[in-house]
Formats: sequence, C-alpha cells, structure tokens
Amino acid sequence: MNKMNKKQLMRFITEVSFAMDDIALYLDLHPSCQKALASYDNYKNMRNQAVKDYISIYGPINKYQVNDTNYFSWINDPWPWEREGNC
Amino acid sequence: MWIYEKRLQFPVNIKETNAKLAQDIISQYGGPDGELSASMRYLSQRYSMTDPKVKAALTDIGTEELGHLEMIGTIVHQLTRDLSIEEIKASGFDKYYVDHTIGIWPQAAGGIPFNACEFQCKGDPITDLFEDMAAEQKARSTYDNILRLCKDYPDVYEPIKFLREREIVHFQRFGECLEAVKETLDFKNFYAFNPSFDTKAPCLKNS
Amino acid sequence: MEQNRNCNRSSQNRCFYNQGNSVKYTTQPRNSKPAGNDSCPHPTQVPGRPVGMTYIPEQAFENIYDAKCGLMEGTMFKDLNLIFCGIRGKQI
Repeated sequence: MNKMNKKQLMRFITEVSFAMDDIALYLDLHPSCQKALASYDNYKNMRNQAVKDYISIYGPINKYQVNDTNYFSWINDPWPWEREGNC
Repeated sequence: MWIYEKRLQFPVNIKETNAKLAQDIISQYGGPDGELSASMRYLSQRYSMTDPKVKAALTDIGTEELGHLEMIGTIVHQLTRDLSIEEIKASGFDKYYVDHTIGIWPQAAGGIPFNACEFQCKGDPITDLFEDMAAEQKARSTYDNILRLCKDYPDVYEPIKFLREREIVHFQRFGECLEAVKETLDFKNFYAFNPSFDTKAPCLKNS
Repeated sequence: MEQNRNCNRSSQNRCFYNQGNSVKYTTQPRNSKPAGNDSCPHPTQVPGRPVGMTYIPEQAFENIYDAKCGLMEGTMFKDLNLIFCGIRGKQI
C-alpha cells in the first residue's frame, strides 16, 4: 500500500473487498472451513489497513468515518456512479 | 441495517453514450429477473428461514444484489447522461425519456414497471430456495442476452460479464443452502411438513 | 493461495465469439443400457439420493484465484468460472 495513489488504493480496496465478499459467501455455507477462514482473515487484515490509509488521506468511504470537524466531507463528489468516481 | 460504501463492487467507466444499449440493460435494473427483483426476493425470504446458514446467505446475497442494482443504474446513467435530443429521437429512447428524462426508473426493457409479482416468497424453505436457484439462472440467461448485444463495447461488456459470473456463484450457494435445509429433514420424505410453519404439529405415524 | 495471473480457463481467453471451432466440450456419460429386451430404462438409484429432489454437489475450498484475478473474473473460485461462449464448440 506504500506509494499507491488514490485510484490505485481504491482499486486495491475493491479487489480485497471482493475477495472477502466471495469468501464470506462460501463461509456462510461452510462456517467451519479452516482454509476459507484463514483466507478471509488474510484479506481482512489487508483491507483494514488499506481502508485506514485511504480514509486518512482521501476522506471517508462510509458515513461513520468522517474526521473533518469543519465540514461533513461525506457529501463530497465524485459519487460512485459518476465517471470520475471509478477506478 | 445497511451500511453504504462509497464505491462500486466492480468499477464502471463508460465513455460513450448508447441509448439503444441503455434501453436493453435497464431490464436488469427493474425487470423480472433483474437485480432489484433478486434483492427484494432474498431479503424478504430470510425472515421465514430457520437455518442460520440460509439466513446469512440470503442476507449477504440480497445485500450484494443491491450493489449490483447500483452497478446497473450506473451503467444506464453513463450510457444516457450526455444524450442529445437528436440521439434520443433516433434511438427509440424517446418513449422512456418522455416520462423520466434521463432519470433511472425501475422497469423492464419492454416497459413493464418493477412490481412484487416478479418474485415470490412462499414461506417454505425448499420452495423458496428453488425459486432462488431459478432466479439466478434467469438472471444469468438475461446477461447472456445482454453480452450478445454489447460484445463490441468493452466498457459495457466487462461489468456485465462480472455480474453474470456472480449469478453462477449465487446459484451454487443457493444449492448448498438447499442441501443444508435437507440435512434437518426426513430424507424419505422432504415434503412431509414445512419446517418454517409446522413446528408444533405432532408427527404423523407412518401407516 | 494460487498465484495465477492467467485467470481464465486453459481453453479460452475471452471465449465469446472469438474461438469458433476451437471451443471443445465433453458430454456426460449416459446411464448404462438395460440388458435383454426390456425396453423400460432401469434408472440408477443413487444411494442417499432418492427421487423427487435435486442434489447440488458440495464445493471444496480449492483452486482459488488471487484477489486481482478474482475481481476480473467475478469469482475467487476457478471451478465456478463458467464463461459465456455464445456458440457450441466441437465435441471431443
């Protein structure tokens, strides 16, 4: 995650989040699978760090993460359906 | 409770307008086999399920489908937002535009508005899971049809290909849900009772 | 975790309309034919799988893509990556 720009970091978050999405669905049906649990944990750690880095520099990804005490930066453009909002 | 993340599950970056494609792809927004239908189906069915694995899967897949709804809305929005009035008139998009301009409204490509008749929640786990497996196949077929229409437009093709693959994965998961439900039933007669309803009925002796 | 940059299955890159006759497929073996002159098929009862119900095979946690490939393909599970060809290939 060092030296990633905003677009690259968001792309990384998209990738590890998706990995967790698909592995979590598998775990919903196989909750005791050790291999899947280990993989989920691995991606969770990567994701947590990446999100922490992202929101500290570029602003919140969800509305519970706003740290700016002068302005509710959650409202800022771009939003994901806009071209500039995508990696 | 839902938390929204300010990102798409898979990026959508469409650089050229295309009103004809938009009119077809909107079926996956508000059509019978589209993402809104899928999401409402799964999120509604989970209340009457008994197995925690199934409650989790329906919640998580229903939630993911809302993310897919957002992707489809984004695709249609990016395909239509810079349309000129001449393009609108030439493409047949004028019929939608008259009522919605370039807003996004849930309807099928043929014009039928989204409605709850497009999905079922029967309150019986086996029935509902077959409904869900069928729904995923219907969505997959719809995406096959859309892929045929957009194969020359890679910006559109890539997110649609992603969404189609998700349907196949969901189908497998719903199948595994069915296997989980069956584990608690009598394998000589899976249909003897509805585990979501007949919890207090006395067992009938076999004749 | 499988570090496989070649996300796609071995036979196709992007199958749709690109491959024509180079797409190959196999068919499932049919049930064994009945002996003698009996024209009624003898269904093969699978133990533990009575009629009147469908059965879905369990999936193992194996053949997993890395996250980069997984996102591009739409699944982390190579065995579920069943791409659209839009054309019937040549039976092998």
